[in-house]
Amino acid sequence: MRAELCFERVAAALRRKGLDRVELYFKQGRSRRFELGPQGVVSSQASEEGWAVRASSERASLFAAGSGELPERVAWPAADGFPLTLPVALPAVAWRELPGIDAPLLVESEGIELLTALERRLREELSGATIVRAVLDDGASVGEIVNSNGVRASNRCRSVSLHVEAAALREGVWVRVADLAAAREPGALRLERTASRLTDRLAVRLRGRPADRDRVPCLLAPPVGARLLGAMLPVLLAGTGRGGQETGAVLGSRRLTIVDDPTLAAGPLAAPVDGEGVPTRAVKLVEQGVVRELLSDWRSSDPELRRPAGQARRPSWREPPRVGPSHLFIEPDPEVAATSLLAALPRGFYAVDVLEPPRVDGRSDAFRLVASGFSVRDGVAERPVSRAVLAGRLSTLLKGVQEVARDLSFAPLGAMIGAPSVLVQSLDVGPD
Amino acid sequence: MRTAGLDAAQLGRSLAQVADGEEDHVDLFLERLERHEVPDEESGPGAISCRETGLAVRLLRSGRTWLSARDRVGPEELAGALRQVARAVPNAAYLPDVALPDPWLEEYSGSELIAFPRRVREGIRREGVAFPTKMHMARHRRWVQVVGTRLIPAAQTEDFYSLVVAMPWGSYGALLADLGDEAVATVVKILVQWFEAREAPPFAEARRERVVLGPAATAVFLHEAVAHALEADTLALVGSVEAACGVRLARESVDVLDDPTSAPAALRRDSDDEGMPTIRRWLLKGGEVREPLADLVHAESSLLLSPGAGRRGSRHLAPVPRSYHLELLPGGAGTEDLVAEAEGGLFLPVASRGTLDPLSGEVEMAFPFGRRIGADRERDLVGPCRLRGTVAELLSSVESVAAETRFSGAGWCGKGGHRLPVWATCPALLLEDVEVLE
Repeated sequence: MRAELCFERVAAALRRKGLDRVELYFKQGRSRRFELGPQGVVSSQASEEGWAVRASSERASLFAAGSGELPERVAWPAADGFPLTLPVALPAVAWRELPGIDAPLLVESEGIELLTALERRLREELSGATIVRAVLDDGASVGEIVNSNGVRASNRCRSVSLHVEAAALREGVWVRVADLAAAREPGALRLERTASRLTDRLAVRLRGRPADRDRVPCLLAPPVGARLLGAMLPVLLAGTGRGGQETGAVLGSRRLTIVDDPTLAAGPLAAPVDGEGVPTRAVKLVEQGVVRELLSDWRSSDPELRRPAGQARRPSWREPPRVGPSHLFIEPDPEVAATSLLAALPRGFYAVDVLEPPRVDGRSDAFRLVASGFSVRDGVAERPVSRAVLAGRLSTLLKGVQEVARDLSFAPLGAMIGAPSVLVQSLDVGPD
Repeated sequence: MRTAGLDAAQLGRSLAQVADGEEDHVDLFLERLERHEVPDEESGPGAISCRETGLAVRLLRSGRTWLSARDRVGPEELAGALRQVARAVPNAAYLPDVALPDPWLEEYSGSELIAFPRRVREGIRREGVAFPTKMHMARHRRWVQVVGTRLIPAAQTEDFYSLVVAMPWGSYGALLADLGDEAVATVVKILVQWFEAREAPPFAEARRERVVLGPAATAVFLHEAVAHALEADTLALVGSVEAACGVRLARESVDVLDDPTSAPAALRRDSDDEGMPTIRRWLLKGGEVREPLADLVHAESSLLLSPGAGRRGSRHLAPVPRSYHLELLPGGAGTEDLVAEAEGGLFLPVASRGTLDPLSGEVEMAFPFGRRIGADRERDLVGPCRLRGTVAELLSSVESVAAETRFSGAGWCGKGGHRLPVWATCPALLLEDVEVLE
C-alpha cells in the first residue's frame, strides 16, 4: 500500500511536533461525467488524487489535506482544539469481491448514447416532454488508511449515478420533475425505469390539480419514503441536539424497522471498512418501532457495550471523516406487494413524487412534505393530484406506519437512502 | 514545486495543437485552492487545512465541450489531459514547462479565525444577552490562471471567509470579505435579533404584504430574481437567450449590474474563469433587461452577448454563466424613510435561503425572522416566513430603493452542482404587495 510506504516518514515528522497519534489516508480515482443541458453536450474525464493526515497529541489535533502526491515536506497547521483518539486495528470482516467492481468506466460514446436514448424514450412516452438537464457520473476509486494504532486498510469503490430533470408544458407553464438513481455499474442503472418514472411524474403534474383538504391514509412510493427518511437523518444521529432520539424510545409503529448497512452487496457504497478503517457492520437503528442504536462515533460509546459499527464516512480526502449512514433504509417486507397496499385502500392519497425538500424537525416533532400523486378510491388511483401538502407531527407519521411492501429502492442523497412503499394511517393532506 | 513563471507561449502552442479549426476554443485552467477551517471549540478535533492544485484542459467545438482534469500540475499531467481532450495522439510531443508560482509562501496561523468567535461572543454579551452558539470559521483562498491560444490574462485571486453559527433555534451562515470590526458588529446584530425572535409567533397565514428587505436580504433577492433569471443557461431552457434583451422586468428606478471589477480588493476579478475580460455588465437598466450573463458557450453564437461571466466551482466542472458581484444602484430615499413608507408591513433583514425555478420563473426566499413595522416604529417580532412570486411579479413590485448601500456576501450558490461564492453591493428595498407565507 502506498500509504504504508509514506507513513513512517509522516509519523516521524509529526512526532517531532509532539503529535504521536497519526493517521494517513490516500485516495486515488478516475471518473467520467456526461451532461446534456443548456451548456450543450459535455464530456469530462478526471484523474483524482489526494491525501489527508489527522494527527493528535494528548491535548490538541490537526487535519491537513492536499491534492496529488504527499510532499516530502508538509507545512503542518498548528494543532489545536480537542485531542483525537484513533481506532485500533480490529479483526477484518469476511469480504467478498463485489459484483461489478471491475466493470470498466463508460467511454464517451456509451455515456452520450445512454443519455440521448433516455431523452428519446422520454419523448416517445410523453409527447412534448424534454430533458432539461441530465448528468451521468461514472467513477472508480481506491482508498487506503494507515494509522499509528496498527490499522492497515484499503477499499475499492465503483459507482455510477444519474441525475435527470425533465419538463413539459401545461397551459403555457412549465412543470419540472427530477429523478436520481445510482448503482455500482452502468448496466444496473435500468434507464427504462428512469424514463417511466419521469413520464409518470410529469403526467401527474400535467393532468392533476391540487389536493383537497382531507385526512386520509397515505401510501408513500419508494422515492417519497426515501426522501423523507433522508430528511429524518438528524433524528437518527446521536448527539446532534436537533431532536435526536434516545435508545429505547418508541419512534414508530411495529412495522417500522430502519437499518444502516455498509455491507450491502448490491449497494454502490459497500465497503468492509469505514473512513477510519473500522470494520463495518449492518446496524438496526430502529427495530419494530423502538430505537436500538443511533448513528454515532465509536468514541462516544463503551466498547464493552457496543461494538464499533464503522459509521465514519469520508466521501472525499478534503474533509475529515464524519458520522453518517452508508445505505440507510426502511426494511421491506418480502411478503407484501406494493400493489396489494394500493388495492386495499378504500380511500386515500398515493404520493409518487416529492416536489420540494421535505422538512423534518425532530425537536418540534413536525414534518412537512410536498408531493404529487393520486387520490385513491376503492383501491384504484382515481385522479392525479399535482400538488399536496402532507404535514403534521412526525410521531404521528412514524407511529402510523401500518404496512411496508417489498419494493425497496434507493436514491443517492449524500448517502444511499432507501425505502419500500409505506402505508401510513391518517395524515392531513391539503393544498398550500 | 518550482516557483518559476509559466512558459505561457509554449503552453499556448501546445493548446493550439488540439484546436483543429478556427472555431475551436481550447484553454488550460490552472488553480490552487486553500481552505483553513477552525471548527467550534466544542466540536472536537482542531484546525483543518486543505491545499490543492490542479489543472483542466477544455475544448469547445460546435456546441460540444470536452474536459479533462487532473489533481496534479506538471508536464505529464498536462500532456495526458491534452491527449484525452484531443482524443488523439498529437504529432508533436507536448512537454511544456508547467509550474505554478507559489502564491502563498507564508505559513498561515489562522489567528483571526480563532479570534472572531470570541469577538462575536463579547459583542453579544455587550448587548446584555447570552445564548449558546457554535461557530465554525473558514478562510478560502483561490488562485486561478487561464491560458488560451490567444489570451493569457493575469492570474486572479480570491480571498474571503465563511462563517456558520449554530444556535438551538437555527443556523446562520455568512460570507465575509474580512473579519474587521464592522463584520463583527453585523454578525452580532443579526444573532441578537434572531435570539430575540426565537419564540416569536410563526407567520399566521399566506397574505400579501409590503416588505422591506435589508441589504443582506436584498443581496439574496438580486441573486435569485435577477442574476439567476438572466443567466444564459437559464434563459436557454425556455427559448432564445437574446429574446430577453429589452424586456421590461421592473420599474425604471431599478438598475442592476454585475461587476467583478468593483468588488473589494481581495475579491476583485478582471478576468473570469475562462480567461475572458470581466465587464461592468448591465443586467437591468431602467428596469429593462440589457445583457444576460454569458460565458463563451453562449456568447460564441450570439451577436448580442458578451462573455466574461464564466465561472466554475472547480477544475472538474465545465464553466457556466454566473454572476460574481451584483450591484443595485442606490435610490434617493434613506433607509429609515423606506421603512416608514412601509408602515404595517414587514422588515426582513436577512434571508436564510433562496431558490429560483428556472422554468416557471418562481422565486422563493426564506427568512429566519422579521419585524412588523408599526406606526410608532415599534417593531413586533415575527417568526420564520417565506416570500414567493415569479421573477416578473417580484421585480415589478420594487417600489423604492434606499440610498445607503452595503457590501455583503449573498451566500454560496449551488446551481448546477457548482459551489460558488456570490457577492453584492446593495441598499434596502421596498417591495409592494408580495405574497408572504409561513
